[in-house]
Amino acid sequence: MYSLDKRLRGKLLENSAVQIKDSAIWRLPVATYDVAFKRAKRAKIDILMKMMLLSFQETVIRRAANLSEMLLVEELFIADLIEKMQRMGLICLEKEGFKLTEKGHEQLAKGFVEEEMEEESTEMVYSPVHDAFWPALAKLHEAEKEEEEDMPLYRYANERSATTDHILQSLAEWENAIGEDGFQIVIARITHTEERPVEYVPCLEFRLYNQEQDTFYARVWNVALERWDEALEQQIEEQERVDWREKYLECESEETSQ
Amino acid sequence: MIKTSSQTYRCPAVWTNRAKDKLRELNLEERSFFSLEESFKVYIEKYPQEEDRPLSAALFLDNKENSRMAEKSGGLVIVMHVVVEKDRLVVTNVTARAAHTPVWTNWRRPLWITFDERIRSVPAGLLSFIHEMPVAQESSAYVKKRIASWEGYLKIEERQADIPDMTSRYSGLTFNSDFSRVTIKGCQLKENDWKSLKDLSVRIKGFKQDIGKVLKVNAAARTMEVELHGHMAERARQQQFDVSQKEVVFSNFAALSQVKRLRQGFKHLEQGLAANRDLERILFEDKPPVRTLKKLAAPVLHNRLNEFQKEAVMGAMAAEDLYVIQGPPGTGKTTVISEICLQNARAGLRTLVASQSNLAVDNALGRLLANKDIRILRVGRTESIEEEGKKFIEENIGQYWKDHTLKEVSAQFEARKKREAEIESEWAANERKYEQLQPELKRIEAAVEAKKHAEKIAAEGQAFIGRQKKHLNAAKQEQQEAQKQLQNLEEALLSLNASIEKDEQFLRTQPDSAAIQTEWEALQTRIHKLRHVIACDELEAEMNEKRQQADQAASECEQQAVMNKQLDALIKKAASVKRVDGLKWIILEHNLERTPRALYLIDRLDDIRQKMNQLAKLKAYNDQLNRAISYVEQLLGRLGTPQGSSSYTADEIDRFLDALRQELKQHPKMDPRRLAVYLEGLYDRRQFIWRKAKRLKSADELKRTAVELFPLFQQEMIELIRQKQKVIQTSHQRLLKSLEKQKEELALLQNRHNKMRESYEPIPNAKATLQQLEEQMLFLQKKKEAYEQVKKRAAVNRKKQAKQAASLPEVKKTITQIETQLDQLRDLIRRKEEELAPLHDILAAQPEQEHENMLKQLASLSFTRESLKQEKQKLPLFQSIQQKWLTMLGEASDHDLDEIRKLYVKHANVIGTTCVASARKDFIDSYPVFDVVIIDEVSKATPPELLLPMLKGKKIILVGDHHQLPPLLGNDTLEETLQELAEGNDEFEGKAELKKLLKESLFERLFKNLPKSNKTMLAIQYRMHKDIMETITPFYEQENDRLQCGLVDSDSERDHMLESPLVQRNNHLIWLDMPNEPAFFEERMKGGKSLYNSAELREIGALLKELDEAAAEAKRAGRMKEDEFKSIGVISFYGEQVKRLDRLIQQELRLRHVTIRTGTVDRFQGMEMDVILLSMVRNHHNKQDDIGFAKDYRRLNVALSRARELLILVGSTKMFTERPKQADTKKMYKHVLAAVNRQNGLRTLAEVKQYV
Repeated sequence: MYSLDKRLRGKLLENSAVQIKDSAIWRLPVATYDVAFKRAKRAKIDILMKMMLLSFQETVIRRAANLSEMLLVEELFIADLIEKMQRMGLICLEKEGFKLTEKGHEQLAKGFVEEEMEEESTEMVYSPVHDAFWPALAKLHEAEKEEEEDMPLYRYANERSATTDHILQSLAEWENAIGEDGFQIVIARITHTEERPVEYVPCLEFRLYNQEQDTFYARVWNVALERWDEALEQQIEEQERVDWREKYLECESEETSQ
Repeated sequence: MIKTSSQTYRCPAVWTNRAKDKLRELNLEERSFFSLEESFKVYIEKYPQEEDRPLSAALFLDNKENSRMAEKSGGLVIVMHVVVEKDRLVVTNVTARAAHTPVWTNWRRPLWITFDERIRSVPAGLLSFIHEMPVAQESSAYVKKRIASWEGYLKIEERQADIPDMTSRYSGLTFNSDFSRVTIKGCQLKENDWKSLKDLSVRIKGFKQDIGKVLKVNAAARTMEVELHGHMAERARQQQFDVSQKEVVFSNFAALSQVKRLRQGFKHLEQGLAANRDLERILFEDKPPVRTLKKLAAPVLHNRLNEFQKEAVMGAMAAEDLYVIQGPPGTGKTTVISEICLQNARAGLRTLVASQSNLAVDNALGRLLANKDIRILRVGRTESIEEEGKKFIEENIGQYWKDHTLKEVSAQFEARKKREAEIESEWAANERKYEQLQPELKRIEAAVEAKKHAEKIAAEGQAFIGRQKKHLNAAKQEQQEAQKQLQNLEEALLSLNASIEKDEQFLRTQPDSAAIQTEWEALQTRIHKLRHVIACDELEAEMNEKRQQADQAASECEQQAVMNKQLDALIKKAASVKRVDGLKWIILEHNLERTPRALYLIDRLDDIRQKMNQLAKLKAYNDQLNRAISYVEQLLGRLGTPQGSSSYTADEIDRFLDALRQELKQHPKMDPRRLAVYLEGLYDRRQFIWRKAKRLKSADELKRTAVELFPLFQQEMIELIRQKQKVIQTSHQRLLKSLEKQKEELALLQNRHNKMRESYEPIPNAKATLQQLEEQMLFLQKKKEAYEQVKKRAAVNRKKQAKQAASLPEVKKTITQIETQLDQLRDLIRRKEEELAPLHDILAAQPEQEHENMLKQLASLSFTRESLKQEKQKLPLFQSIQQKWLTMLGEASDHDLDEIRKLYVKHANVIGTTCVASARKDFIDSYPVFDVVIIDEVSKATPPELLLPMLKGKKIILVGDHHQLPPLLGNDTLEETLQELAEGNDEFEGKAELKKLLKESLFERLFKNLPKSNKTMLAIQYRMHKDIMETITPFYEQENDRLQCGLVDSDSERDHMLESPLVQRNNHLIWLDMPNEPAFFEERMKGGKSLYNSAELREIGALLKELDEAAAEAKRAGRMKEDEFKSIGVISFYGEQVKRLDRLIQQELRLRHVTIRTGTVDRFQGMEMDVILLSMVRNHHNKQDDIGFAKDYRRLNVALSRARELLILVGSTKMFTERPKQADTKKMYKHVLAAVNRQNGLRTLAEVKQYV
């Protein structure tokens, strides 16, 4: 932690106009969820075409306009796809309306095939302050852990917790993938979630003053993300920046006057 | 653009050897070439014609239509260069162009040619077709010449663009507070290179992409500030910039490719590649040759538009090639654009929405309607597209479409879910209602039936009554007549009785006729007697008379006998008379009648006597005169000579003689001469007497005549008397005879009288008595007659009376009968009417109307039921399908939306991109042509930029405002650039042209020169409170329409809700006046150009605090919502001031109730805020200096027109209203100040201090 602090300070002071007026180390609470979920393997078939096949199977459609009315989709799209599906031999126009051909039935059936895969599980970290999920945290060193216990809690922490929808959405963003031969693998459902006891992420906060520009700003290094964290910086600046000017510049002027 | 010609020409063609060689080089066979296609689609380009040379042209063979040829040639465009001879085309050369080379241009014309050796000549149609074509090179030359005036713009950009890449090592990187900029330190570059660094893109070795572009260079410190692209901040935070090899590359690729694209635009216009074939003329000619507008039916508008907006939309729809819309601040340009896009989409047209900046494009697209007819696609570099435009980029439109569709479907699905229950309840209600109506219907039907029945009965009854009434009337008439008859009869009887009574009375009182007869006869006798007496008396009287007559006649007879004797005596006397006068005397004595002969004789005798007298007289004068003569002659002693012929009267001679005597008496010794004269006179007169006497007959002769005449006269006289005597004798004879007769008559009468006398009884007064009696007689006669008459009449009357009295009971009986009949009829009618009375109510009712209404109601109910039924039938289907659809959409992954994305892109009908991006190759390939190109914020783009999207539009709609700011070149305004150019002593051709363009932009020129039908100014603004608008109205005074405020009630719609010491609720325009004194003066950055003003910074800081506090107060007072923020824009004419404002706001102010955005006036164009603070910066005493950028009215216009509710200017009023050199500039600021003063908006610094 010390070396990290030193490295960061060096980096910040590369700019000669910058002074570090103050610094702090504190811990940011994060929640870790054990998430069990199932993925599914699905044929990649166009959603509108699938819906149209389904509609042709279920009811009598003669014109694109009928379907357009039902699905609230541009007639042009429907007309285009009808033409394409006719060309592909998926449907044909009969006396009473469009009918699925054998190939059409096959295609539709394939569209609904969903092969559910084995249950999997993963670990998801949620930061209430950011209202965002992070990938699993690297295990902190025991030594650091001890150190961490002495750290104060982040002063603007909140108690928000994650919803299942949010978990699913984030998980899908990470895990959905396109497979070979026209199959895609998607997260089908979350089977189980469990929140572990709160963990903490150490952060290094620097309060900087750029003399050239007469500006104060904050830099916060997020150890878990290994980056300068703008959400935290912004939160701190918004709350404290104007006070810093009074605090640090007046102190200075007092010092100089003494 | 592409004119499709169906005309096919058959035409012979031959190859020259050179052409054959070339063809072979292209691996084509000259023998079979012409038979590759039955006919070739060809675009002809005409070459310039030379004298005495045949026509020549190039035939571009379409590589799409001519598919077999294309296959052989590998897709290349084959060009045949031909000489057009009369009998054939000679192909002199063949060249090939790349497959993507456009075969059509505006200078070429398409047609079909079948190459046929058997034909003997080139068809006349083809010859004239080529003759009439324009020469391509000439058209190009025209464009080239005109477009040269735009070269200036390109020159400026090229100046900065033509820079080779530079590589340098660096020592370190420092980032600013929010990682938006990086300062690169320790660069090693050549001195000259430092100057050209600005705006170059920066790449760091090890990075695939540019990190940003150079913002500011400090050559002395060997540092430069680079503005990072948005996504680079992320990498900086992760410290990815820590690379081992510290090397940076500066390149101008982006700028260069931009200039290249602009140049390419010029080229395309020259080559005739504009989608609108008149584009170059529309752009360059003083009177743009626009076509007249189409006539369109008024479209169904989606937005609520004001009159100007409507005019703009209709005009833009109807225009064929160009329409220009001038939109002052806040006048709803975007609404108009949105409506035009929708109308175009509905008309099946594809629209390009282009603008100079990405921001403007995204703004325009963001405000388009979420309507499924409009399919918006944003094309451009993802990282430069703003949030509002991002949802329309290709990778997001699948999602956008999904979200939109999901929203619509679920809304319908949810609505229909409720609908299910609703349908049931509606159905039930419908049925209930139907059931309820059934008995009602029955009742009404019965009522209708009853009414019909009643009507029938009533009709019959009425007919019956009618008939009876007719009878009644007839009977009444009869009755009347009978009564009249009775009355007459009675009256007649009455008068008869009276008459009879009277007659009888008369007859009783009067004597009867016998008595009268007796009386009458007595009277008759008396009358007879009386008449006899009278006759007797009369006869006696007659006799007396006769006797008298006879006596008289006898006496007369005696007289006549006497007279006869007297006459005898007279005759004797006359015969004895000897003198005439005696005869005359007899005549007079006896009153004898003078016969004519007697008169004649008398006259002659008198005449003779007269003449005798005259002679005597003359004789006397002669004697006198002779005496006188003798006397005078004696006196004179000599004789005179008698001569003369004068005539004289007797008097004159007397007077002469008297005069002579007198003179002689008075003058005894008279002058002999005088005497001689007298003598002469005397002679004269004697001569006259002589002459006269001579004229008369001599006296003897006269005596003789008298003697002869006298006996004749005597004889005549006697004769006369005798005749008289004879008359008397005759009368005497007659008298005697009548006397005889009278005696006889008398005797007769005497006889009669004697006889009568025998029965004569004298009665006195006989005549009078007779008359009385006769009258009495007459009376009696009359009386008798009257009596008879009365008697007769009484008899008649009695008879009559008897008869009439007999008929009276008859009549009375008839009357009674009629009365009975009448009563019967009346009774009948009354009974019938009573019978009909109950029907009245039935008949008065209107069950038919009710019935009809009921039927309608039922029909509508069953219609509703039918549609409900259908809906009910369809509902499960719709629900099940939409349910599935919703699930599917909800689960859809990006991959599932691939096809949709493709469809959407294929059918996208509103494409948005920047002007320059519209010239990117991939964009041109995907969208070569648009039906309509709308360019927004036109005034902010340079003509070369505008040209790029314009080239693509068949129709072009320009939207802008030339009273707002002109284009920026790079980060600088044109003025700044020009200033730089002037300082750089850089001469280039376009400089003068550029200056001209600065004065009047392309947009302004087009707007001014276009016909009224092709342009509109949107003159109603909805942004500013009217008090704020007042400051900018002068800028639009030259236009046709004044700028108007469309807010119905500015005070309520633009209430800023703030109350503070400086700002009252009713203040919307405030100028905080800074003193024009050194303590408040502007300052210049060390080593920089830009200005700032510390005093204004200070005041703005205080003002922002005040406004923040006022907003807090407004929240406490409930005027503002708790979570509401006032949006405040803090703007300035100077970039440096903006930078300092940024710092101030970020570092020193803690504002909780407002959101603040800062920027230069130029950058703020197109934006709006609730409150605007304008820091005006300029403030000095330098006589040579002016107010800089603030001079431009367009900049001032933009600055003043950003605020909705409150505009606060911070600057020196003296500086801006008195210091500027130009009168116009002073005037425009004075106008602002006047408006401020009118609205009590001027605040002095003293006032500010007072509150602090």
